[in-house]
Amino acid sequence: MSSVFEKIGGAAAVDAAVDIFYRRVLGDDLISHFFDSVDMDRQIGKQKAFLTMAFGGPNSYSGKDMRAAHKHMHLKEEHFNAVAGHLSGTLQELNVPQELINEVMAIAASTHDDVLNV
Amino acid sequence: MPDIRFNEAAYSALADESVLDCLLRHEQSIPHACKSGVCQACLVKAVDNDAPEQAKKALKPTLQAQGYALACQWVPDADTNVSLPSLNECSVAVRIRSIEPLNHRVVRVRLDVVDDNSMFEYFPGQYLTLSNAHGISRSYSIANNFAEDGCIELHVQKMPQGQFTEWLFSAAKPGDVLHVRGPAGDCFYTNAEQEDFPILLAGTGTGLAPLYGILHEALRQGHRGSIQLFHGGFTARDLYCVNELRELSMQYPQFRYHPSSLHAAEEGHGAVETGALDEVILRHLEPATLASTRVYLCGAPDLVHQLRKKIFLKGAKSSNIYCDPFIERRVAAAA
Repeated sequence: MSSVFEKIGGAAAVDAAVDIFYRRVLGDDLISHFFDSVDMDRQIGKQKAFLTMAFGGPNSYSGKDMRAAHKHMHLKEEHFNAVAGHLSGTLQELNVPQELINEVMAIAASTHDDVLNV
Repeated sequence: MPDIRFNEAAYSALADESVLDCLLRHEQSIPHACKSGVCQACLVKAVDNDAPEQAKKALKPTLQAQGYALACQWVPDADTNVSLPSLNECSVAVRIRSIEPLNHRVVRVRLDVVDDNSMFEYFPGQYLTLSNAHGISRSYSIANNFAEDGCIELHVQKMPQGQFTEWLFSAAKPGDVLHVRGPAGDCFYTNAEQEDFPILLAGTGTGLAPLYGILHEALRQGHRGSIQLFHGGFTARDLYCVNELRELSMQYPQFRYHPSSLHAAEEGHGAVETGALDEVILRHLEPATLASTRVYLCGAPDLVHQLRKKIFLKGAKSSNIYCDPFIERRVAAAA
């Protein structure tokens, strides 16, 4: 039984998804300010790390890191939902099968409490 | 806190302070410019102990092997002993061939390499750090191909109260010797596969220098894809090489040149579009080809950041956008 990460296409899938995903969040006025920084390379790197985690790939995120990294942003439910929407929208754009999208969204949903600091 | 030994004295570093910041805080004279680990002006030699990887990784293996490190990237966790490199060890002596005005505040500087020409290799669009006899260092982008022209060409803009340009514009003369370190930077043309992707070049002021170098290099290598160059100024007087670039666009059908100015051009400048650079670019952008376009953006950091974001949102691949924001290495020249 291969992992979600393998089924979705591994690191190549992350590379294919990162520009689409980042373009979507940067273009969304509700959340773009969380993602807009002078150092776009660093932002792209962060989004790759996030997508790798959401795709069930090898990552070093712990719940504690996730919580610490998002704490100062005072995020609300709507922000979380917006990012989640762009994640599934990205995968739909890439024609990823729905059952795989569901698995990815389940991983993303598991970060909910840490991201929103609840 | 660790001590930094330098010039036979010891200086105590603060927590998380770089070797460079520590020595500057103690009023030691040490060449520096960008403080970001890119310009390599603050090269030091580790005398006893090895520098950490972070302080060495941007350097050529040959410099690393000799114990060199960048003082601005070196945060010591133990007592450290550093010395300044001797000039001829890691820099190249150059002689000013000519200084020629390009507009009301930009000059074209041509430099001959004094000794061994073969020692000097770079890609047009990279930059190097120049030091004059007074020990003032500044970084400038390279606007030409050294192997082709046998000299180095830079475009230098006069900075208000800028120590280096003050000297360059008033006292420097042909024959003067300077020292060059570098090159560095990854904003240059490469096309090993001979592909014919479109190229978009955009910048303001002397941001044209690297773009000019990249343009000529692409044409020299016979680039077949379309090449668009956007050069913007506050007024048309801030542009330069306008006629030369217009002629080039007649000579090469794949090349289009779009000079523009924020304020409407007065008479005598020919066709110069009016508008902010990003608006002018968006007017000419071809969304269908943007995903395969290689984009080069050079000049003021705010502008580069803003353009990068807009062009990315329009569909350019993030990995295809090359930026050379003229960070403090040029802003510092005003200090």
